[in-house]
Amino acid sequence: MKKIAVVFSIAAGLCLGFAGRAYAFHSGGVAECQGCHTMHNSLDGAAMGTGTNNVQFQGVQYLLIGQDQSSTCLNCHGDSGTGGYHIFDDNVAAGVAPANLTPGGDFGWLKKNFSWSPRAGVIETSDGERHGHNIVAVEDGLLADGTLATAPGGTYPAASLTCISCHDPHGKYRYLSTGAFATTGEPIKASGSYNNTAEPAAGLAVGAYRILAGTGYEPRSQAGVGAFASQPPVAVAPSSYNRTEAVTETRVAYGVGMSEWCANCHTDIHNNSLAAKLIHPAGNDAELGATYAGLYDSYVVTGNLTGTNATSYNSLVPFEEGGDPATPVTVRSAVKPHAVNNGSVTTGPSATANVMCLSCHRAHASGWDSMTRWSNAMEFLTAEANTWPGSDLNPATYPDAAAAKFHQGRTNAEYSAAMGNKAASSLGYQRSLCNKCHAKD
Amino acid sequence: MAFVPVIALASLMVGVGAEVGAPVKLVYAFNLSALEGPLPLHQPWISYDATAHEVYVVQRELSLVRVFNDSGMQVHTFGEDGSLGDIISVASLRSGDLLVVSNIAGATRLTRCNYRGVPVAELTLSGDAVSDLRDFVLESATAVDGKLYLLSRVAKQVLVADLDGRVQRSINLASVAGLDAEMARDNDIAGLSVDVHGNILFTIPTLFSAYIVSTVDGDVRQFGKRGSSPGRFNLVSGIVADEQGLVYVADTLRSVVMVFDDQLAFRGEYGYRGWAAGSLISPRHLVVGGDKVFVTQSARRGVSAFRVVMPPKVEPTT
Repeated sequence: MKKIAVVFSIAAGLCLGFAGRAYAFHSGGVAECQGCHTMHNSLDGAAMGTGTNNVQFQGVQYLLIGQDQSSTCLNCHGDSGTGGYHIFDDNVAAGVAPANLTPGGDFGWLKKNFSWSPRAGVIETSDGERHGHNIVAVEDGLLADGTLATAPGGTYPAASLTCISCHDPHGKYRYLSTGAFATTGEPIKASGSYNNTAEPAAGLAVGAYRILAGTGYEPRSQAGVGAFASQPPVAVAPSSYNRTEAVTETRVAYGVGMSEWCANCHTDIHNNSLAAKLIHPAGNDAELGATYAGLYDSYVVTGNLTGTNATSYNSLVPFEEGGDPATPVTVRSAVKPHAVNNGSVTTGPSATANVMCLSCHRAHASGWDSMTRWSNAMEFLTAEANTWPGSDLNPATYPDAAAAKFHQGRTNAEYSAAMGNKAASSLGYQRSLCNKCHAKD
Repeated sequence: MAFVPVIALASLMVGVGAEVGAPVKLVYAFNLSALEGPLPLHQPWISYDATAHEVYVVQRELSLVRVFNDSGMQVHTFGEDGSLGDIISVASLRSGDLLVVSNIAGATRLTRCNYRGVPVAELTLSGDAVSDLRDFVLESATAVDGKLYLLSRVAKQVLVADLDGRVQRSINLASVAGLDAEMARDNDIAGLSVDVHGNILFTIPTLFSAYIVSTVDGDVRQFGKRGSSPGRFNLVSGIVADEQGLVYVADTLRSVVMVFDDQLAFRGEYGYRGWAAGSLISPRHLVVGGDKVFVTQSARRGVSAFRVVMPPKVEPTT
């Protein structure tokens, strides 16, 4: 006898019982295996796929369900939305910005090619592949960098760059309750990325920031590229971060180790001080000192140096707060209260804060060449009428902001999104944000 | 008019002692093609014109609408002249006209076009609810029985309007799903559609849940169980229902399209990750039209069409 499903109606309020937190797939460590792997490539007596590299009981390399590592990740992390796990808006029209506004940036910028004519007879371009880390994700149309064969400053091969080049897919790196980093020793209880995660109790650990990989990391699928020399950085993000900064900024609280970690691949770019080599310092020892911290604090906008430490923070020029890299849990606890998205913490750097790679670059991608946080191809970021430039602006109303040399091929929406959708209304004639620390304007 | 959702525990009923019916099969039919062969599209927007039996595919990166006949061959394109701006989606009206959602100079526009995609008039939303639409980002429209359903996954909201754009009611899908503000922010809607009866269907992949909302009496049916075996939700996306009440749910991670009957009993799943005809790569958007289900994919796999094959009826023995 066929049983008929009975449908009961209950008060809507009870449905709250269904709604726990968003399902945290990684939970700071290794996720459910079958989310990324197919064990035998067999289901119901047949292959899950039947391509040449995907036959029953043989499957694909590394037993992944995707054609490659990044394609597997982007099954979930692709697309756009308000959830922070979206990092690749994969279907963006010309003139429209990738929708995700995470601090790391949307990989969708890799597909945005811009060209403009700053003056008669001259065409300038900003190719998509120059906008970020060119992760290889064949299923999503993301290909290896066509210009750079290896990581700038290092030997990491561009053809091997995938999500798992930086993120440990198995999430083994963790903050132990004892205060150190390790890959084992205590079980990971939760993500260590967010401001709403309690510090681990005795005997428990939380995952590394963004499940980034650390010392000794060399994925089996990328053997030979060289093991990481540095541990993951200490940083904490607000729990909601894929959001516009039009009203309040998204402040990721960086502690220590970001530049050292980037140097796992970009080794020769790393520099803690000008005394070592004459390239811009960035690292745990590249402290701002009283002079540069003071300039950061006093800098408001171009031509205005009346700011104070209490309100000087600018999410387009973040810094590391510093601390002892040997005690990451202590540093994490100290910076965590500063990871906010409601504008409640606006304090600038102390003299012992330091500049880091992410002070100027985004981690994934940005709207600008070299994945910088702002354009370094033009002296002005805003022009007249406190407006972000745009190729679609009316030249009669915005003779400067609508000029090609200012908008650099971006529409106003693209330019604005590339700046986190921050309001331009109070910026006046804003010049390069290098001046946030250097105040040459 | 206030919309009061009443949720039903369908998920607790289906699969708990319910006999699973005979499989409803999805048989691979074709990929949407032009003269040069199957089109290598990546997750385009799709919709179906039940009157003309045509499929509309929006290729956003080109601001192009491709129109396909019932056999999956491209028969027309429009939008390439830029007159409609950045085209986001297309809906068909019973009159044969089209409603195009697009972005022009940063503003979302709803444009009524003739069947060739030539703009006829701009539709402006009006009514009391319009003043409270600051966060509403129109993504698509569906016309059912003289009503216009305006859908926004980002805002988790559906507006019901007449064909002149007068908004009559607003349905907050976050409330329907019982999400507070923080939960609503952290849990995106992936699939959102309206069936021929005016029911609203949507999925929230991070909660492993699908919802069917009756706009008539407010009943809400929620279903879905987390897992990777047949019938379970791993990372669900598109959801649609056909005239018979069959519900189709795409699972992007498992690369399948699941079929549920009108009682939400699991009736089979099809696709599976692979490059062969009939296999799927990361299916996302679904539309249903005629006897077919159309599925968008990643990896430039385009849009695959599957024919719905019902199980043979068993005559009662005497």
